[in-house]
Amino acid sequence: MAFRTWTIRRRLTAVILAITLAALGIGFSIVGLQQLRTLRHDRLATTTLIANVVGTYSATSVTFADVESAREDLARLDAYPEIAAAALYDDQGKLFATWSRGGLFSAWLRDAAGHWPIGVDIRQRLQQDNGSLIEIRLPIIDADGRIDGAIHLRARTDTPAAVRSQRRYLFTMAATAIALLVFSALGAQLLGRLISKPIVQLTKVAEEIAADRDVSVKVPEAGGGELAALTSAFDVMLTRLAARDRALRLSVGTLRAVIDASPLGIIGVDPRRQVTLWNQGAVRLFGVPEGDAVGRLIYDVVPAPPLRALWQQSTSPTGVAGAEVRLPRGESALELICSSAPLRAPDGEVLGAVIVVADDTERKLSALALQERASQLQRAQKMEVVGRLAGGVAHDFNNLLTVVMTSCQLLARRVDERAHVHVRNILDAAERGSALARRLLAFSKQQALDRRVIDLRMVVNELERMLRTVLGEHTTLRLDLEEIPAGVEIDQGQLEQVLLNLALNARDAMPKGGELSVSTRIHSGVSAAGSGAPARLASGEWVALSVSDTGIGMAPDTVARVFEPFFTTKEHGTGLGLATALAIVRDAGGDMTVDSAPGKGTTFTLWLPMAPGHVEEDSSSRDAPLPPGRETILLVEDEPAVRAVAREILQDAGYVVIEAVDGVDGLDRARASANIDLVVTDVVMPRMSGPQLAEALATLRPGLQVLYMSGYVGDALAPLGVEDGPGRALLHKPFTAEVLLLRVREIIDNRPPTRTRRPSTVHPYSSITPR
Amino acid sequence: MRCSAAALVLVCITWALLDSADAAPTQAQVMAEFIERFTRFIDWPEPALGPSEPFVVCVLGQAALRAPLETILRSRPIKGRRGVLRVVDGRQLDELADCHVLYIAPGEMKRLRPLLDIAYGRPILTVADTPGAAAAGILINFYRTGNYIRFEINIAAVANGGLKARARLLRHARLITGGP
Repeated sequence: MAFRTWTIRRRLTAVILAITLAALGIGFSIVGLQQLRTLRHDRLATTTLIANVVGTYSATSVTFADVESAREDLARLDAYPEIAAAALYDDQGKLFATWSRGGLFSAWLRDAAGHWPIGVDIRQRLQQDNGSLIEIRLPIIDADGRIDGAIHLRARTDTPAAVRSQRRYLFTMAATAIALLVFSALGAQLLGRLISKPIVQLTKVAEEIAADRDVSVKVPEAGGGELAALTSAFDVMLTRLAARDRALRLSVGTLRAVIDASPLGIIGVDPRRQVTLWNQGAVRLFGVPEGDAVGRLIYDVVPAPPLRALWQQSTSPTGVAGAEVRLPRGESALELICSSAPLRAPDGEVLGAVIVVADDTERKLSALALQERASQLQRAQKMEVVGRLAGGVAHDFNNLLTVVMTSCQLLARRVDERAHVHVRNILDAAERGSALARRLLAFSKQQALDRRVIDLRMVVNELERMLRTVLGEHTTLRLDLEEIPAGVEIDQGQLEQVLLNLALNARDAMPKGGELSVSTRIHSGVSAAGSGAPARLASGEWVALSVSDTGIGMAPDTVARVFEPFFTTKEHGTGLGLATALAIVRDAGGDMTVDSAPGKGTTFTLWLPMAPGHVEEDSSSRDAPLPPGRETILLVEDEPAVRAVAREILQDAGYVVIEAVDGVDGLDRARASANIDLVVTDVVMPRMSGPQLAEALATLRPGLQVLYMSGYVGDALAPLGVEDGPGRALLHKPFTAEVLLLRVREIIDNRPPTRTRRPSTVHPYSSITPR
Repeated sequence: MRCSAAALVLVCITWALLDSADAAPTQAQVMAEFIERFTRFIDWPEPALGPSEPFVVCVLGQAALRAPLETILRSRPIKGRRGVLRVVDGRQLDELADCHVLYIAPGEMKRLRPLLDIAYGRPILTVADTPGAAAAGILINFYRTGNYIRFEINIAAVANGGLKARARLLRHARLITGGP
């Protein structure tokens, strides 16, 4: 058992020594036994020989009963140290003479049985060697074969010489054995070294590899034979291992690079939740460097309480799938989606877990935004439907208002002064209705824009009376307008709408009254530091129109969302007021800012690009006299009431009016009439529309001017073949008598000098030179 | 049958008792043995002891050893030959010429001179048991030392007679010289 833990050299030494010992033992035993047998045989033979010689020599002594001679004869045995005692028997077998080393009383005279036997059978031979003593008794036979007597010798085997000889022999044997053992031990050592040296070298290489993990080590050459084969096999294995190691490192490196390149936080933990892997994604997410994370408990690396459960469950057999975790980070929060899966060895043992953390903040925000956008879209679509509905309604509504308003104007000329107040009331109501329709259209973005360069101060001044009415008695209005004209290009109606909206908001913010101040300032570039103006205002000339109240103010989160569509703090608010205002201002190339704090009041500032050039004068001044005319006008209108009032206005102004109920009728009338100076036509009519009529007339009477009238506005007219916008030959319903007459006069006066000139076939009125 | 078996046992026991009583050999027996053993170590010349001749042992005078000698000669061959015992008295000295061994009883020593005349210088082993006999020319003469019977050899006489005595014999003898 212990043998097995021995080194090869030790084993070899032990085995060789054991074999040597066994061989020596067996060999020496055989040789020793042989030697012992030889020794015994020899000493027996020697003693026998001595007995024979002495017996023969003493024969005559016995024969002649010469005791003295016999004793002398026996005494000669003194020369043989191993002979201890001797006795001669006569031919009768009677003891004749004895001798012993050490004299008569020597112990050698006694054998095991006692004294020498007095009488023996001389014919019987005795030869025995019991190890320590040799007893020989031989008959003495003479030349004639007679037995003269017997001689008995007793020899000892432990004579000093014999002992010395034996010792010498043993010593030689032992020395030989030791020498052989030493030689074989040396040989075993040498052999062991020969065999174990390459193995030890291999072991060293293997240890080096184990210690450094460097498989590029080479094994030293090992001569030839099996060990060389082993060494070269080991070398080949090392080479392959090195290649595999390189491939593995490359693969691991690639894998690591992939893991690090992943936008996901990838974390590896062992069953004790100690971090084993911490990729760059995890570094970015948790702000902990890899060096600080690996080797520590993940509870300590990221101690955030919302993640404790995830860390806890990460190594559970089912893992965690897509757990959403909200991790507060300063004022905001990280939205994380966490998954984990246990890592298992092939035998099912849980080695740890891999945790994947995805940053879901962006997606969640954009999902929220998307949701919001969808909601807005839904509302916008609803508004568009409402707008289309409003546009449709406005057509009829504007026809009605046109009749009402123009009728009132006509009526005002015919009734006496006392009735004027009533006519004025009717006209005011109609105008409010018209404003209502316009606002409705503005919300649905179908309002016709009349964008001109106007002076803001003028707009504010004109609106002053209305603002005061809106604000009520408890609130004072203060105007702070710069002396310099503040020209901006914008639709006045829209601007008024914005101002009114702001004033209404201010009134609502000051339920117990206060002060509303409206100011204009001209800036050359607006620094971002001043009043938080948008960055793009940093260059250029800007007119700032500020509306400030001393009301309750707004909290920051309210301020942040104040321009959002459908965001409102009012019980019945639409959430469209400020959104529309911002849209209007941005349409005009400007921007809008708000400055407010709870209890500090609110200031809205409209930043509008300063228009180059001077302010246009309002050409449609109500005070100007209505221009008369004598020309012939073809009036095409399917609505009888509108047609009637329009005819009356034109006839009152001196024009000759040919009426037609629709496009087909108009075309017939045009063919029938010799001279027509202008066609005033509705756009949408049964049978033939206004534009179709215009096209037909263009071939019939080239150069004939057309003025459209329509309750539709803006984009709604495009499909019908009519362009809306400033300078277009289009009259928005409802119109007043003044507007109708001014536009008619304007077009007739501006028509091209030659009537034969062909206008464009598609847009017969496009040849009309804008003002 | 039974009676005869019992008689045999009785005879055997009696013999054994007699034998044991006779255990210590008499001087005559010893000397008879000696004489026989002398022949072992002494060689006679060819003419005196032919190959087919019987070995003749002569006893001169009345001697106790006549019986033992007879026993020996009857039981053993001498020099490979049949031993013959011849008892001779003093009157028949010429009968001694063909004796190989001649024992001279102590009582016959008075006839020493004539005996020597006949035997001396001849291959006849003369044996006596009388002090001074050897010095007188007898080849071997017994004498007593304590309880032991010893012998002396006149080696000159042996040589004169043409006999050869082996050294091993001489070793046990008292050697003397001298002659008639």
